[in-house]
Amino acid sequence: MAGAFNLSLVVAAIRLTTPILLAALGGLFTQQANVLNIALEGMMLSGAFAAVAISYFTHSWVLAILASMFVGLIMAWILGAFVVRFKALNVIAGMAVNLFASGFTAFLLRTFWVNKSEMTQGLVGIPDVSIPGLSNVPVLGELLSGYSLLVYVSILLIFIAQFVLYKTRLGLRIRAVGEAPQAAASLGVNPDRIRFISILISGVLCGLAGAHLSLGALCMFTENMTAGRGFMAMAVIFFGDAVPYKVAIGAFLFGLAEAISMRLQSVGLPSHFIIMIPYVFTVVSLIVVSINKMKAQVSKPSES
Amino acid sequence: MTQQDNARRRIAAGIGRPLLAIALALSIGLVIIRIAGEDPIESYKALIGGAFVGRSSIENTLVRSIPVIASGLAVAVAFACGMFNMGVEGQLYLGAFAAVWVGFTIKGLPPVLHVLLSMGLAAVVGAAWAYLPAVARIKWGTSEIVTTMMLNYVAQYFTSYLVSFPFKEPGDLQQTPAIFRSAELYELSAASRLHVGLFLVVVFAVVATFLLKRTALGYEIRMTGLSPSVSRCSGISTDRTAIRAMLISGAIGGLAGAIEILGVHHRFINNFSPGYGWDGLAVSLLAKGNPLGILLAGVFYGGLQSGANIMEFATDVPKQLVDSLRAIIILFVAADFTGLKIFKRKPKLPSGSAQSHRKEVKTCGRSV
Repeated sequence: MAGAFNLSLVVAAIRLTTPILLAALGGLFTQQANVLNIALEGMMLSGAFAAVAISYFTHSWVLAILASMFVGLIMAWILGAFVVRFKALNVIAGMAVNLFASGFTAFLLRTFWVNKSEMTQGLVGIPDVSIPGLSNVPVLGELLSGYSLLVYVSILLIFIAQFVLYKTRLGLRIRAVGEAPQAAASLGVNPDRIRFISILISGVLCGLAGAHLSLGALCMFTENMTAGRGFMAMAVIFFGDAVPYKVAIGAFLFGLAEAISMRLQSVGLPSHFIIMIPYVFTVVSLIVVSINKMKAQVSKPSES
Repeated sequence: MTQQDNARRRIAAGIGRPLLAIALALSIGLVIIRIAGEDPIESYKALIGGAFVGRSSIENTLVRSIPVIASGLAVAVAFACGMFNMGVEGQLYLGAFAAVWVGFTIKGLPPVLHVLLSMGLAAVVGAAWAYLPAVARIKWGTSEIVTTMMLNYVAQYFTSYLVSFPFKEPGDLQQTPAIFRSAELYELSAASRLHVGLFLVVVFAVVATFLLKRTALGYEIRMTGLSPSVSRCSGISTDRTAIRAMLISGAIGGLAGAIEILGVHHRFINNFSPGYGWDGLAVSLLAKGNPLGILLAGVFYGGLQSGANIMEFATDVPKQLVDSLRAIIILFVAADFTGLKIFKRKPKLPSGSAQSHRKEVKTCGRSV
């Protein structure tokens, strides 16, 4: 039993963390702007499909990654238009985007590729990166080297997100709009514009997450292949209070839970409770966070 | 403007808008089918024929619409109170399991009583599952949208565990033993498996209308949904009302699962719901939360679903096209195009108005 929890489990966990992490890093921008974005799942799925389709036609993984980000951007643009411009409730519009992505990618898949094997043959995947000099070191080599390119990109993006949010003007504006839209507006910031931008950022990163899923982790596209990872990302964002490094920790916990439950499944043990833990934890931490916020509000003198 | 004029205008808008959205979505679908190189007219003929023409088509449509309508009603009751119950899917799973459990463990009950007991437990379980998010929202302001959504997964994995391990029927399939005949809902048609659940959801819709429009609790629910602060000032306990609305909503969610499983499957099958709870949300939106409108919208939804199967069979258009069209319908119904230049009749809404109503609900509990 103890043999199951070894180095390769951590490696598997890191692999499973990446798509959730990428989507969550995107979604935390909308969260910071106080826009509840439940469309992460759909934007991710569209990105996954775009990556595979472009890789199939052009045999270029670079173009495929760019395409996935572009399609994620377009889905986000649609979402942003309806939420920000046309005042649709973001939950409803987000749900519609998810439904559209799941339906339309499956539609395209079945229309243009009659059988799946035909499609997977022409695909060029995103290459694995082995870090020179590290790949031969016994433990560290296995732990740090040999992942798909986007795994490293996602880790880099944690720091970039942290920087953008807390050290740039855009980040300040996003946080300001999230915290007090009226106050931001009175200083000349257009809250709607900032909300729109944050939605677009989430779209690009979700597209990237999709590309990792379909061309990095696997080399194929299947219907609804995101399988709820967008919602996991949402849970992670709430878990980490939309702060990039906390979100990264949360994403790893989800990845670890997924890895453990896959191990358990392979030996026929019930894995359901393990995979449930992150969700339960998210609900509990959400409640704890709101209780703390309430206490803070009560102890502060009334602002109004 | 007289009151009658107002009412007439509201009804026209309530029906006209969804119809416009549907027409728009279908025309977009036309273009998509054309581009995919298929015959749009043939495809739509198959779609509509498969949904609403002929006895077996209509029966299939109705079977498909029953759980969607029930889920839609669940969403609507919570929404009338300004609460989002995104957890119908989870309530549905747990309710279904509870109903099945009563169905296959208790033996020798008279038929009607057995069904009532099954459904009763399903309602209790569904309500209980909605209770925690409701209380968390009212007491501490935790977003019920997110908690109900996360709890869906917990419910789904939990029932999946139950059906894979302790209550698994021997064999390869992840399913429970079949329920006793006495717990089954009466079957109206063997071919399509249409069952009396159809009448049950109609009754639910009527009861929901009566509850919301003709009872004191319903009045309080609607008032709390419209304006919590005004309701509070006029002596309504908004906290208690909101929790009650969520409990009723959760109970209906549980019943939705019970009806589907006692009527169609007669046993709990792992992951049996193809997203009925989410369809319910869409249907409820399409009908603007009006229970009788949900009946219509639910049948329309069921029709699209069963028609899509026929369309895929008759032409080469994949049935998933319909999911894309449904999404487009939802988007257009949810949107407010009055801000567009061509529609510049109403003054533009101030920014953030989509959230302002919800914020009021969140803060009013403490601001007084």
